[in-house]
Amino acid sequence: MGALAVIETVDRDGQARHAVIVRRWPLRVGRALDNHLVLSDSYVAAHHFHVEAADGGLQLTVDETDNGVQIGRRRLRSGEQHRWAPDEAPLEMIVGRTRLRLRCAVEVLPAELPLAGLATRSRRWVPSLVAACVLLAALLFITFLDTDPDALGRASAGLLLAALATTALWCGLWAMLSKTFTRQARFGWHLRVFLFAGIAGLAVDHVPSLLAFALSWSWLSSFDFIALYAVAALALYYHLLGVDLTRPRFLRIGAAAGAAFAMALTLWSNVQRNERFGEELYMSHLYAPVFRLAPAVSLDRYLEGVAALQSRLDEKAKLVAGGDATEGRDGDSD
Amino acid sequence: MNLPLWAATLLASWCAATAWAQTAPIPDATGPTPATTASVSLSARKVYEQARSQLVQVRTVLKGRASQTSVGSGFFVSNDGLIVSNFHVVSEAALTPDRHDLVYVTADGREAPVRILQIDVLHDLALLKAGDAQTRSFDALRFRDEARPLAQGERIYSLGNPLDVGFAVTEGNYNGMVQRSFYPQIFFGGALSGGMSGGPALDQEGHVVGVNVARRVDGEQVSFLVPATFAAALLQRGRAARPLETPAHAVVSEQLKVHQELLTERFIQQGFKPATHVRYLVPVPVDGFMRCWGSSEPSRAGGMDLERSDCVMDTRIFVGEFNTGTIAVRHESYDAKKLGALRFAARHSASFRNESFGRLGLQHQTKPMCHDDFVDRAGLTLRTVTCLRAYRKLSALYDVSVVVATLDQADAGVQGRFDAQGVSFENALKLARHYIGSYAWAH
Repeated sequence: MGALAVIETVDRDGQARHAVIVRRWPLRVGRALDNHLVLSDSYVAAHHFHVEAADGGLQLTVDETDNGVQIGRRRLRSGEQHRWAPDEAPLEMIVGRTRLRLRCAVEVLPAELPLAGLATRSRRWVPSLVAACVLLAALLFITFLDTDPDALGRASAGLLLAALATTALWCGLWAMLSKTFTRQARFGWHLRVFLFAGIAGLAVDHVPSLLAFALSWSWLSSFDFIALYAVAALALYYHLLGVDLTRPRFLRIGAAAGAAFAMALTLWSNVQRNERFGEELYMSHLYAPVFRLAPAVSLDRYLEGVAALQSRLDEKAKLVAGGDATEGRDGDSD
Repeated sequence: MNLPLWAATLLASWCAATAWAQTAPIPDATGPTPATTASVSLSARKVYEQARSQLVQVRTVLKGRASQTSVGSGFFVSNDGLIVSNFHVVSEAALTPDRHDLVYVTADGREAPVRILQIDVLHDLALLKAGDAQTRSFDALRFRDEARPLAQGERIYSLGNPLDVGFAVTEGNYNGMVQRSFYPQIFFGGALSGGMSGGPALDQEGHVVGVNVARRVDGEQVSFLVPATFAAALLQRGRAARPLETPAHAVVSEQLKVHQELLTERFIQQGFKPATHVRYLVPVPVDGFMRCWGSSEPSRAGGMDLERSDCVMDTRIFVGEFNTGTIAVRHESYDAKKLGALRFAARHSASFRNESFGRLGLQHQTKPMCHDDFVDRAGLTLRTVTCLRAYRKLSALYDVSVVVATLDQADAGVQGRFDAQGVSFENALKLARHYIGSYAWAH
């Protein structure tokens, strides 16, 4: 008799670890040896569930088990059933701590995925190479800005070495994680994520301060850490995607939550440090005068802004120092 | 152990912004100091013998315990037990009377409690009253007649209890008044040590000419006395005063308010020097009561050339745990023609960012609050930041700092900073206006 279906135990990366051909229905799954698929999983019942043909489709019925069967987000309890058409996508479920996949013979197979051939690989390395050149140029430009002419050669050499070492170490560690969980290093993927995140990070670090200078928007540079955390969260998401391809939604939520937590922590820290949400006590970024667009204010108007500080200062001065009076810096009297 | 002779580490020749040190370093106990090895003249012996009974050591002790927290000196100025000393000798008892008591000890070892009647923080003086005044009479030192000013080089004898070792007399000379001091001080060419603060300085006839107050630790025999006229005035004001019962912060605040009014008025009145920069008018105060030091640093690595000016006051008002009541003005002039516009912008930003407003801890002041914007001065755009901190215990007094950067050139500029400590909000605004408003085109 020909195969009706195949049931597989699946690893985290979606690869089948073990497969059993189903030649007739019903199919019984459990820990007992009289099942068609025997799972040596302590969280699986002796007869956990069975699948049988019903009304032209297939029906999964959960047997005597406390833990049930999870299909998607739904957990089926003992006695509950799930029906589906055999030509649909393979049914994936979690039984105890084991992931199972049931594929039917009549399943409509998607097209074969191509192996990464030479042509494809070269196409993927092109953007990486361009990104690497852009990032390196940006870093060299920053080094150029921060270094006196006589010391530029040594500083540039140091930067190149540091950039190379950091890239290799960072991407290498992520590649090791990918290799561990997916059997593929995906070094190229992690390198691309690192390079694009680096470029985006530099952009969000400098563009807000330039805009703040040009338009007199001091607040903008004070909150540029928000964009920086967003870039870091995106980078983390794409790195993790290279480690665990099966749960992109979970990873997205995790990265967004991480970024939100970091932002909240920074805002709280800023309030503790400066009694304001922004990171800087004042906007300190100065560029060439040609970048200035907004008009400067008169001295009278400026001093009106200073005068507005008095009520807040007086209010704070009345507060007992209490727990926050621990920052002791006195360069004058001691 | 705190031995408060107010040792003023004022100025090294290279920097006008070094700090004061309240406590003098204690010398190696195994070796004699120059003061103890100097030969004492017959006059000194005579002066000391005459003044010995009027001389006291003033000890601050922990309330309820015998331990002393600091020691200084003092002297009787009336037969009914009034003693003159320095404010910084009794500041702990004045500001935290719930934790500290004062006692005086005479040269023959008699000890009795003492109360504070009046303080003068601006001249660092205190008027005390002996606790046993009703049961005995005291010999008093007399002030020198103001109509007979001292001549330069005249001998002066300073008395006190240095380092809690024992009562001593040191000889020195009157060298005139200290130049550029906001309040008059006598330049005493003699050695003072920690613990002699508050002791009398006498002329050859044994009359009080001054009160020991400070010395320079970076010089030899460069010491300072409060002129006796201020002690005499304090005696007149405080003779009938009731002893201080509560922390003296309110009194200190009121005296500081008088000081800051005078300071603001004199600072604005004295104006700024002309021609301080080829392109701009950059505020550099005249040397009335401030001292300006300049330096020039050409880059050694092909970078930015730098010129710096630092102007500070020698006078600072000691108010217990810190100093205040002073003004400082500085600026740096940058020339980055060799670097170009892009690199100059990076350095201009880094220097503008590198400013601190955390002079005192949060137990003394609020955190700084700042306002920043671009200010137009007749076409000259200034990046301007003003930060203020309010004192917690000195009511309605603030520290104000103004930081300014010129923005008209792509490869050169000036950054300036103005600091005023212990001023009212109104005067903070007035000073900020005066300082920022003085930036302009040179032509």
